[in-house]
Amino acid sequence: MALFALIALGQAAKQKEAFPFVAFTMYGDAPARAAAYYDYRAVHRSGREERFRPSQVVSTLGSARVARGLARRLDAARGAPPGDAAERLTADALVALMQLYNEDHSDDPVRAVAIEHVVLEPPYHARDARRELVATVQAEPHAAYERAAR
Amino acid sequence: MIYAHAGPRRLAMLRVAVLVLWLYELASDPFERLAALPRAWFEPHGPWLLAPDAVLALLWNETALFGLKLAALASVSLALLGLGRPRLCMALALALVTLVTSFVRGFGHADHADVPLLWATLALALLPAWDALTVSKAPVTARAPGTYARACALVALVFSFGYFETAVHRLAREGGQIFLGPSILHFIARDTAALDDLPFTFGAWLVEQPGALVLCNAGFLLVTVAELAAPFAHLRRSVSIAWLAVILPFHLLAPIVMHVFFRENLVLLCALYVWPLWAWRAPEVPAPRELTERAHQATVSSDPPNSAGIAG
Repeated sequence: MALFALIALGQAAKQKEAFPFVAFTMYGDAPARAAAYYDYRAVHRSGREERFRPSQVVSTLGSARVARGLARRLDAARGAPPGDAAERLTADALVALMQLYNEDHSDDPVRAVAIEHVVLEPPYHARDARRELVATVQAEPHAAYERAAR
Repeated sequence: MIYAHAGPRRLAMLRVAVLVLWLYELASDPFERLAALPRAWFEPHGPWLLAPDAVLALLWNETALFGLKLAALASVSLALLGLGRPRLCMALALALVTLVTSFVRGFGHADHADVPLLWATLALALLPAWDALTVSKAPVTARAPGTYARACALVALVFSFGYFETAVHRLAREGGQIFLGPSILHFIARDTAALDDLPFTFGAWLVEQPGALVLCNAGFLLVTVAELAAPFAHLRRSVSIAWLAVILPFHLLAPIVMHVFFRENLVLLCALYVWPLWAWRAPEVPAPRELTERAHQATVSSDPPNSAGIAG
């Protein structure tokens, strides 16, 4: 009974404090009309470009945690003045992810990652997506977060 | 109830399934690589809220995190084998897997893949799951009839509660309207694109097909009904089969359609529902060691207390 009480109370408790008795809210809220997310493009030292998949670099965290964790920080960085803590954290996180990737791909390491904000309006057809370059995070020759010109 | 014929070995097999799953999760996971991420990204959850900053600073390197993972692996192995004092080992294993899981959780978004597994482990720690299949010979304890069936049902209830909570939250917050609008297409389009660890593009293709909204909303509603029914799924064989007929395809299709994969739940569904439905239809046959012990106990209990004296 005590175990069930803990599990049930976890629905209403503060999630950080109550872990592992947490609320299950998956696909529980009808979202706003447009779907938005961030896309990452890796620029390799050779000049090659391809999609950068942060959650494949840190499989421990799972894609939802990495993608939404980065998206939350990027949303904050976009709304903050240049050089803000949110921007620095985003840059540090992406540089760390690039360095982890490069440990396994030393033959052609990633030099920078370009971040695009993607908006999909109903009926959510991928070909109609609106893409906007937000920033480029450099890992080489030194770490830097360069905002895209508006 | 599908656990009506559960005995000590079947409950112990559930313990084995859950702990082997933890071993796989821990051993296959490069947990120590998290030390490469900036500490500012980490927001302590659960037990880590009690850790002073100095402890976190000390832990923030690959060696320390690898040590934590090794300690969790060792304690789970001991609890799995039932060596020494199994409950003590299980308490330690539970503490360490909670530490590992809540550390990962500290990096952000709620991801519930490992929480039902953690709850099932917690439930097992409270149950007589070490009455069989242990390396150390445990003293044989007389249990009331139905003890093991009720124990299995408790694990199933705890595991299924996450499904139930998900459906209740969805219905309480949005009501039936959520199954009539484009929410499900939004989720599929967004997660197929944003959750980048799986290569499938089926979700993006699906949302562009005529009739996708009706089809996906029907599936969304069906899965929500199954989630609501989850705590009752073990009560009848027919209900279990019907429930699995929805929940198993959902877990198999979710990674393909929307890049959401609950590997742990799939294993637990097999251990808690598929296997009992398939293999627990007859009473448990005692293992040879148990038969010997029971025969010995029967001999001892059939002798009058003073029989030795009379014989002498």
